[in-house]
Amino acid sequence: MNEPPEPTEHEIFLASEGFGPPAEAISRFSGFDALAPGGPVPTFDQVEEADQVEQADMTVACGAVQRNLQLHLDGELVPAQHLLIANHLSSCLACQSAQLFQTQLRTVVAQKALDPVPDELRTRIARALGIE
Amino acid sequence: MADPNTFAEAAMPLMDQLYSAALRMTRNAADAEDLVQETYLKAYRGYERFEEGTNLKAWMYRILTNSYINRYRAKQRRPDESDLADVEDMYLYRRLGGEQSTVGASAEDAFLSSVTDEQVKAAIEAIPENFRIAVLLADVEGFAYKEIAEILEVPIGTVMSRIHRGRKALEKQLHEYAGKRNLLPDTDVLALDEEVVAP
Repeated sequence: MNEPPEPTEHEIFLASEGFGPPAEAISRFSGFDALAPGGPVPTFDQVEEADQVEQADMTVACGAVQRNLQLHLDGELVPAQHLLIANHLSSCLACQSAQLFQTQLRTVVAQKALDPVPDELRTRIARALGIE
Repeated sequence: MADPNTFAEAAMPLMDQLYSAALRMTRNAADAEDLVQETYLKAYRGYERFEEGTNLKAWMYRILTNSYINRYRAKQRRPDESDLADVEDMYLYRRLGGEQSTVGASAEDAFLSSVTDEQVKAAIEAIPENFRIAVLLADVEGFAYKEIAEILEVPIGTVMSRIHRGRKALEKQLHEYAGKRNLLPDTDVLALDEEVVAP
């Protein structure tokens, strides 16, 4: 069996790059000082483009949160990433719903996969360890 | 150096967990009992080498896992992993229609409250072996990735990738049970759902 190549630390880091808007959106957004109060009245096209950037930003954020949700629940991200996800979750019902399901699923899996040790085995091991 | 006289007191309470893990690994009671007994005897004999104050549970799981791999793995057919490629993140949640906002009882709730012990156990046992052990250690035993890396003696990136793929396999299996219980939304909704989540 050949497992696909393992992700490197760098790839894992890149997997979380979806936090926040893509670099392109940021650079585009930075051109919108015109939307600041007191500035010149923006054209319709400028307003529409700004809306699109914001929408793209939200989509990226949900996607990044959901891609990294398991790592978040595992406590295996760096603190800044946990914080970004926690912040997003606090205000996004869709991601909260996904988080709730994944958390409950883990509990169900952990609780339903338990089998008591047969008494006979416990006795056998205790005897072997000389404690009976 | 640990005092052998304290071994039983420290290790006996771990037996239910170790036995459950052994059952999921071997998938039959007779082998699981042998494996647990072997683990306790090896641990007892090696207990002087156990560093007191470190994690006894992780140490016992390391012995259990090594014993399992040495003794049983060679006997088993390599399971097919190829059908995991198209299983996306949150597979089960999406298939249950979790992204459709619903009020009141949802398919996710119905699934979580109706899935049985036997289905969960069978679903874990259906995970390809390498991934199954990683998922057991993470999701059933609650070990951190670093501890799992030490138990399995593999890099942490390998642990991460095995858990990731193992969970996909688990959700895929549970999804089949959900389908058998008619808990899945109708196909029209599902098709729309897939369109929305496509990258």
